[in-house]
Amino acid sequence: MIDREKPMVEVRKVRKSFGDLEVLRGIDMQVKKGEVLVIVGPSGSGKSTLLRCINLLIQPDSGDIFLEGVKVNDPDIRPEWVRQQIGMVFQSFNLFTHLTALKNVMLGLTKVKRLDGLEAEKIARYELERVGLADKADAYPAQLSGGQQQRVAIARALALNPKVMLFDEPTSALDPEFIHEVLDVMTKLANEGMTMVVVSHEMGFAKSVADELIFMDNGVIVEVGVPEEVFASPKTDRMRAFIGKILG
Amino acid sequence: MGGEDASTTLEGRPGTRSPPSSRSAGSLRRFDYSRIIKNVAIGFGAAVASLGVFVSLGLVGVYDLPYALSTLNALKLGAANTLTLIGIVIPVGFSAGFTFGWGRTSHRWLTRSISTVYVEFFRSMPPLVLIAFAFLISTAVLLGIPGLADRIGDPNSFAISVSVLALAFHSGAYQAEIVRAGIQSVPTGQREAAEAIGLTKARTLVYVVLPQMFRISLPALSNEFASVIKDTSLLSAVGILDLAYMAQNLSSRLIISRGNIDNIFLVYVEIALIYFVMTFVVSRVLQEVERAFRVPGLEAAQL
Amino acid sequence: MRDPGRDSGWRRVWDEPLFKTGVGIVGLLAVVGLLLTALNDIGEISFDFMASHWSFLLRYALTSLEATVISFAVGFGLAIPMGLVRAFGPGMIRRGGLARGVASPLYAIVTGYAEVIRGTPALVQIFLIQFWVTSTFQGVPGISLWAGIAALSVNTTGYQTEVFRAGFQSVGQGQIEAAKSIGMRPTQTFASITFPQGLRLITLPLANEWIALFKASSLLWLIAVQELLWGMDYIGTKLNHPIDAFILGSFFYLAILIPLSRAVTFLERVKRIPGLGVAEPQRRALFAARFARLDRV
Repeated sequence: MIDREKPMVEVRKVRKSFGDLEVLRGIDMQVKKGEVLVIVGPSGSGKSTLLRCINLLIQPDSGDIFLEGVKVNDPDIRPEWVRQQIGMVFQSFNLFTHLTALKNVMLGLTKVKRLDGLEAEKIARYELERVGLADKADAYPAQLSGGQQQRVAIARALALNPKVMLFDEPTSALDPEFIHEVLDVMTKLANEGMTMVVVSHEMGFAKSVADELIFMDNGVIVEVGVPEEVFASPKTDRMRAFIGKILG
Repeated sequence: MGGEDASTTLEGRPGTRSPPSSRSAGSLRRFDYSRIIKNVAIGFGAAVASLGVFVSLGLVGVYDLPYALSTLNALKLGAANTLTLIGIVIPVGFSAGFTFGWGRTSHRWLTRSISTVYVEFFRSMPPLVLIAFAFLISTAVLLGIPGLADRIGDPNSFAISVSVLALAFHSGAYQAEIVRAGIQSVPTGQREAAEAIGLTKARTLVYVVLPQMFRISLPALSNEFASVIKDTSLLSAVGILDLAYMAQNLSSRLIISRGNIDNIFLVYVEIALIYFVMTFVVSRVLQEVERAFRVPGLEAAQL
Repeated sequence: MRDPGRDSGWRRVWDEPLFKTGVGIVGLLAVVGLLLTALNDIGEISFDFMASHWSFLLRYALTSLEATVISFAVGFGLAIPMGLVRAFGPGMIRRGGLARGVASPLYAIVTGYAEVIRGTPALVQIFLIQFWVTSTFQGVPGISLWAGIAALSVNTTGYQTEVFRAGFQSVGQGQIEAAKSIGMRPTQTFASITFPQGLRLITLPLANEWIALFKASSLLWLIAVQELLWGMDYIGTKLNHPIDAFILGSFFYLAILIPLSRAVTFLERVKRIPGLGVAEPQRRALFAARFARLDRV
């Protein structure tokens, strides 16, 4: 219980601009250990930028980011050390095209964690098994369906045993028939107690799995709450309009 | 995809009245004259500025300005001859390239085979070998057949012309491959769609295949034209007084007259600059043409 | 009409592309053979002469190969770091600070080098470098060959730099982001992702460059290096057999270049990793870029 009180990730007053465009305008949020946080919002609202700031793929202009209480956007801290502990899954999968599924998962283990090949392969096969793709270990990304590629990408992130997993619209590039297999894997992960930050518009997933939901618009957090309540009775007009749009 | 294809087809037919929406799309603009004028102005300014830098370097004595001025006449002659060669080689090469490139995609096996043999042979031979032996063999044949040499006039200039043709055919082989790739990269569906709306084969070619092919192969062609400009330097080997010949001639004169050896570098810098400007201008102009005719979905692949 | 079952076996054999190519080559050789025999009979060319002189040319063909292989290797070694500067220099410059101070002059020099080499004829470069090398190392035996190799190296470095630049640049941003997200350092990202992917993407352009370089080695004849074209010229003018010389020499050039380019195309197709590089429809258009000679000579 005490563990659950300590924020795994905390974001304080984070701002980020690209040229004249201010994408994040003072974001405050936290995720506790074992929690699943879902972020929704119209495109261009800064969701992806926020995720990328958390694992320092993008350096915020100002504000602080804490991982288990350690300030990580600090010049003394190597961003690689931070990223090792945070898994990320991309909208467009970004599997390494020149490597098989197995080698994709092994790469982080051998190059970043410096495990020897045999051990890395054992872990990689286990992770592929976990996402249900043990039989596709030797396939190249282009030989896999979108859903399978995304599951390999999840396995690649999981292999490094991350403390947090970030998902950047993991299902938006998928054909409808492949969406559920990726969501199934994510639900399983959540049930196993993985801390997750998910940018996604899958309302069913948000309702059944998420502990908290954040609605972002124009670089600020507009609404925070338990998903069921936010969807049932949105407090702001912007949220209401957005829900109206995604429900069609 | 469908929308883009339709606009592509309309693009090739200036006479067709297209819906206003497709005209207003930014990428369908034809020549953007203000851009072109701006670029020309910038280019001209850059040329004047660099010429100014070059001359003033001479004035302060970085190099031998009087000598540089004394080479101007030779350079003028060389540049004129090089330009003449370009003016012959590019059109002849393009005609050959288009003919044989078209032949490579023909359904008749004989046409295809002849074109293939042409392309493989001329592309695989070093251009200098073709030039040197076009000269040697045509001289030998001319002198070997009694009476022919007198009728043709100057056997030397005849042999030189054959060498120029040899270079043009070498370039033509490359252009044939470019043309063929361009034709083949137009999807079959385009041809079928054109024939489905009742176009004859010839019209399909002119209105659908060629406009698309042209856009796809333009960058490769412009590359090839830049290569041809540089290749004309090889014709100095058979005694054409082009820029490369002048480079050699001026430097050997410096050695014989025991002049300042450093001036040899000066000569080469001058010659290199002239070639550089020629290739630069040609590739920029073609880039501008490509930009003017670009339509979404038909960008040429480049690596 | 015809019984489709009866000739289907032959049909299948005939439709096999390898068989068609084989028939084509045999047919071509037959035509060429007949033509040559006819020329031999009327005395324009002489088989006996060719038979007794092919080994003479072989020696010079090997010199051409030697010059090409050495200068290609030198160019390859130099072009990788230079291609890196060309591809990633602008990014470093944008970052500002110390990175900018180091990257700006490097980028300017490498870009200028590549532009000048690609914008001027190889022949002009060869004349100049030969002059410089031979006047610096006067009297060293075999210096003209080394001057030629130096000139070809300088030339191919410029072209290969651009090949590597294109290769490195065409590795997608998503790939690099993914590598970062699993905690790889920039050097690791380069070694495990950018370099292997880039190298696969440039196999064909690089092979193309080798072929172009072998052809460019013929220019060394003009600075009195005794290579294949020198040998051909010797037979053509000194021994007064120009047509024989041309046929023999062409045989050497074609025998070295055509199988090589075919083998590279074949290897690239077999060894290609699905999905890496270009999607199938674009491959055809890329064909054009492939056979354009990368701005060569």
